[in-house]
Amino acid sequence: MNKFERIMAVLEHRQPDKIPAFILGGDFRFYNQFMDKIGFTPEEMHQYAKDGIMTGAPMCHALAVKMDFDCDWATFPSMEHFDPETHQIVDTFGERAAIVVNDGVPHAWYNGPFLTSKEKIKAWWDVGHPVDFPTMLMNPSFKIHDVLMKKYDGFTLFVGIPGIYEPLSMGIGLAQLAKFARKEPEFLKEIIERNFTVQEKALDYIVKKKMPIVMCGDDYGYNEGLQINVTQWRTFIKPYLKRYVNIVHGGGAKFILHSCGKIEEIFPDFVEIGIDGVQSLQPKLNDLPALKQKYGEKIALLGTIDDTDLLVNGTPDQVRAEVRKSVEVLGKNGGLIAGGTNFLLDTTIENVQAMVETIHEV
Amino acid sequence: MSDGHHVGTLDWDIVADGSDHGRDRRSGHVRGQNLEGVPALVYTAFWQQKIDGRFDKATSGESTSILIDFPDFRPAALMIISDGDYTITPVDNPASLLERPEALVRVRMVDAVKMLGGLGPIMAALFTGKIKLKGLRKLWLLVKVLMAKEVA
Repeated sequence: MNKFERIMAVLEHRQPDKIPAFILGGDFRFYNQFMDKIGFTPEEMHQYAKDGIMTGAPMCHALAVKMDFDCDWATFPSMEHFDPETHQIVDTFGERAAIVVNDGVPHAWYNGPFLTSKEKIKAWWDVGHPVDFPTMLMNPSFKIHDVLMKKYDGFTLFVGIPGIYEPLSMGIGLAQLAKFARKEPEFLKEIIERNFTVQEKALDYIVKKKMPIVMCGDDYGYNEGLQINVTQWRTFIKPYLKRYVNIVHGGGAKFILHSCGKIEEIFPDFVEIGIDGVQSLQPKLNDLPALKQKYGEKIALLGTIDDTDLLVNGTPDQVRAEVRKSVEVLGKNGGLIAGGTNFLLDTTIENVQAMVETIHEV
Repeated sequence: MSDGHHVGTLDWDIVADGSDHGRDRRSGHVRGQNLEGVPALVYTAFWQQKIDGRFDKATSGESTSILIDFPDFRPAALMIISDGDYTITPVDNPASLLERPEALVRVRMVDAVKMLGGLGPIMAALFTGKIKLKGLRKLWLLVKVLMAKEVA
């Protein structure tokens, strides 16, 4: 099997020849560490740059190829807007973000919601937001997908856009979201529906490009549980998540959800609406063996290796032992694409190498 | 568009020294450097090429100064390229710079973000003069860095 065949075997609940390894991305600090300790030979650099896979952190595909992962991710940004009154760059869903350089290394930060009142939300709509995703920023990834697939043993790039909840909660703020959910549910539905109009177009565009695997990021969980209560999630978010899945399946592609935190409460919902795989699955927050036992034949598990402690503070030997233990349970009869649960940031290179080697060995 | 010896009608009364204070030559980044806004964006745009050696190769033997200015979103970023390396200095008031940079990119941020919409908005911005480019030969150096395939 090549890498793509191996991944598809997992998502279709067939037995792969070995367990594939996935990397969500390597943040700037991880890339810095990678270049210090591994790096690229001049020949590799030439080839990777020529192939267009020397993409920017946190999604440098060349790093993923060099470290022997089977698949990685590119999530497409929404359109940006500059507000001259407040001097803020805001995305079309109202999320304020910034790049800051701290001690010489760049970092991307979420700076809070821009749409902090009902009046601001309506004024935002009046000037034409939300607007379509910029296809100019999407198109290069389709070409990269094809190059990776053809020239790098079926290495598979998952592509996608943000989900429904994250742009909503980051754009209007969690407190306001909770308030609207209780006191003005129709208005909250209108916000979601307006956002969905551009999200739907972007998903249509992706599936028209014949991408085989679409992965959308939508963090529903805190460490302690869901960010909003489960009834609200089922009322406001789940119907639109289902529409995401239907669009992607309608184009013949698989749908993977990335969602951080403790999310096991809504795992039955993921299965019900036909999601093919769920990524992140932080092992310290979710009972993964139980999820495997209960839903493993219906939905693939992705991620599952602890990158909050094990990959940061463990030794390579500890990583090998823990990864082996985890993969033997969660990868039994397939159904697992293993890797860290989020962008690699302060994880050590040695531990990530040990993780990938062990995933492939088991 | 001129070749960049004169940048608008600006007077320059601050000199960016382009010094190497605190520079970590091994990894290429400036220890302790903290930036926000446009200077952080410009610094980040070339950071990866610096870290992996493509910046050094593409700019080897070159030295220049480039001002990247969004007048509605200051400070501007003064980029000093020297000996395969770069520094970014925030500039609150470009008109007060003493030494004139050799190249300039100037566009209002409100127009710049619209260019993400595609080739159409980019061409429109160029033809309507919303984006001002001076010192094209020096600016080409940045394109060379972003397209670089070889490492130092």
